[in-house]
Amino acid sequence: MSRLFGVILSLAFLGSAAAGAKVFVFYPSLARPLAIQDALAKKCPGLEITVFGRLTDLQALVEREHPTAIVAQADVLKQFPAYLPKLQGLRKGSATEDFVLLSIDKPFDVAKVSTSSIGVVGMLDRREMDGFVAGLVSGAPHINRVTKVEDLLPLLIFQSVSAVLVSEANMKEFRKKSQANLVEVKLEKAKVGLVAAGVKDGASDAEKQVLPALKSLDAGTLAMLGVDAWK
Amino acid sequence: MEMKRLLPALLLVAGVSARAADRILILRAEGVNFQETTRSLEHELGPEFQCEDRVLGSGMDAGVLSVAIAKSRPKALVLMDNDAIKLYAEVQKQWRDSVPYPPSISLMAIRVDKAISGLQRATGIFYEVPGVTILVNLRSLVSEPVRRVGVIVRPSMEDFVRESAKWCKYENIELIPFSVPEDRKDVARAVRQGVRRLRDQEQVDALWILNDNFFLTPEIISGGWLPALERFRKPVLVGVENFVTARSRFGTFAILPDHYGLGVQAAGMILRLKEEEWELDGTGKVEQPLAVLKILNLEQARKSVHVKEAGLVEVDKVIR
Repeated sequence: MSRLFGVILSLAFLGSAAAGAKVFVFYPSLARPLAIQDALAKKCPGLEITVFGRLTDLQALVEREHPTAIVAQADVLKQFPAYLPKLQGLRKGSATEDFVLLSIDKPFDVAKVSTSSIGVVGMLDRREMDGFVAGLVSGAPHINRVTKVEDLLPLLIFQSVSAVLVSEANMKEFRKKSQANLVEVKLEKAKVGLVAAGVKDGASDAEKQVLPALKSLDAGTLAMLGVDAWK
Repeated sequence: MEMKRLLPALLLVAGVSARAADRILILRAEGVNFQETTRSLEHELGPEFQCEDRVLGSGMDAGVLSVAIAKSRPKALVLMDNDAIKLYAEVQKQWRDSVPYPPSISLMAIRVDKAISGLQRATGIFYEVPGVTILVNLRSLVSEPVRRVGVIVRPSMEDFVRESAKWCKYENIELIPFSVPEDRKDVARAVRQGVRRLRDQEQVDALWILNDNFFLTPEIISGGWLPALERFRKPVLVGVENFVTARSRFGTFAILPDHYGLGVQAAGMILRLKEEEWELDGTGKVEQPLAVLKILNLEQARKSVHVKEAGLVEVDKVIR
C-alpha cells in the first residue's frame, strides 16, 4: 500500500516538475488529489502545482519548500499566517457554504450535540478542529476525525457516530452515492469559507504569475475546488 | 533569577509535562504498512501522547514485553498484526489477575474479532474491508445496477459475511453466499460450481472475492477462479492489488485498507478511551475500517459494465 502512496507522491512531483511558481493546494473532496492536480496542471502549465490529500503532508512541505501560494479553505489558510489571502473563491456569489449535520433514518437532535459523536474530515489540527466544530454546532461533541470526505459515509452506515458534519455540496454527492435514508439538519451558524488563494508575503512577482493563472481556470476545474468564480 | 530558585520551577514544569503526556505502547510487525499506520497514529495523537514503538522479532517475547509495560506504564497498547495480539495474550496469561492490564486496540490482523477474543480489556479495527464499502464504491462507478452480489464463503467466515450483509441492507444490496465446507476435497471445483451457480441461477450483478487464503492458493486460482471467471461477465471485486493488474485476468476492482487512515481511526479510539478515563471492560466492539484505497482495472471493467468517466476522479489508481 505504501508503494501505491509512493507512486502517487512520485507522480505528483513529476507532474509539478516544470519551472514556475510553486502552488500548494489542499481541498478535501470526493475527488482524489492526483485527479485535481492533473486538471489544474493542464490549465496552469506555468505553475508547479501540488495537491495534497492530508493536512500533515501540506504542513510538512510548506515548512520545507515555502511555496509561492497556498489554495485552501479560508479556515485552513488562516493556519499559515505568512500567506495573505489575495483571491477568494465564490459559489453562486457567496464566499461561504453551509454545513449540515447528516444522519441516517432520523434527524440528529441538536440539543444532544454535546453528548454525541460527530464525524468530520480533519481539515485542521485536532485542537483547532475541535474549536472549529464547536463553533459550527454550538456544542462540544466527541469528534471522530477521518482523512477523506468519502470516509464519512461508512462512519454513518456503521453507526460509529450519530451524525456527520458536511458541506451541503458533499451532502448532495452522498445522496447520489448512497441509498441509505440520509436525513439532514441545517445549522444556523454553520457557514464555512470556500477556498481562497493565499500568497506568500512579499512574493509580488510570483503573485503576478499565480493569480492570473488561477483566474483563468474554466468552470469544470473551478468546480473541483468547490467554487465557480474568484473575487 | 538565581539558579537555585529556577531549578525547582523547571523541575516542576518538567514534572507537569511528563505527567501530562499519556504513554501509548505500540507493538507491531516490521514493514512499510505498519510504519505508515504508526506514523499517522503518532501524528494524530500529537504531543499530548508519548508513543513508544516496539517491533516484533529481535528478542521480543512475553517476558520482554512484560518488562516494557511495567517500565513505561502505558495507558494503552496498540497491537498491530496477529503475532502482537498473541504476545499480549501471553503476557496477560502470565500476569493472570495480579495487575490491571492496560487496555489494547488491535488492528492490521486477520479477523481481529476472533484474535482478541482471549484478551481482557480489548477492542480493535477489522482489517477486512466490509462488503458495503466495496459495493457502494462500485455502484457509484458503473451505470448498471448493483443489487445482488455473490460471495463464495466457507463456514468459518460466514459470520463476517452475515455482518457485511446487515450493513449492505442499508444500501439496498443483497449478498448471496455460496458456502463451501472446510473439509471439501476439491475446492477449485467447488469454486467453479459456486461461480456458475451465482451467475446462472442467482443472476448476481457482481462477485465479491473474500481475502481468504482458503480460496486463494495458486492451485485454486488457476484451477478454480480463472476458468470460472472466463464466462462471468460481471464485475469481480477483490481485496488484493495484484489481482487487478493488467495481466491478472482476475479482478475488476480492488479495495484495500488505507493504512494511514487506519492509524487515524486508531488514534480516535485512543482519544475516546482517554475521555472515558481508560475504562474498557471485557472485550469491546471491533470497528469496521473506514478509509480505503480503490484500484480499477478499466479495461477489465469495460468488458462487463459501463464505467462512468466522471467517477474515475474518485479512484486512487486506474489501470488502463
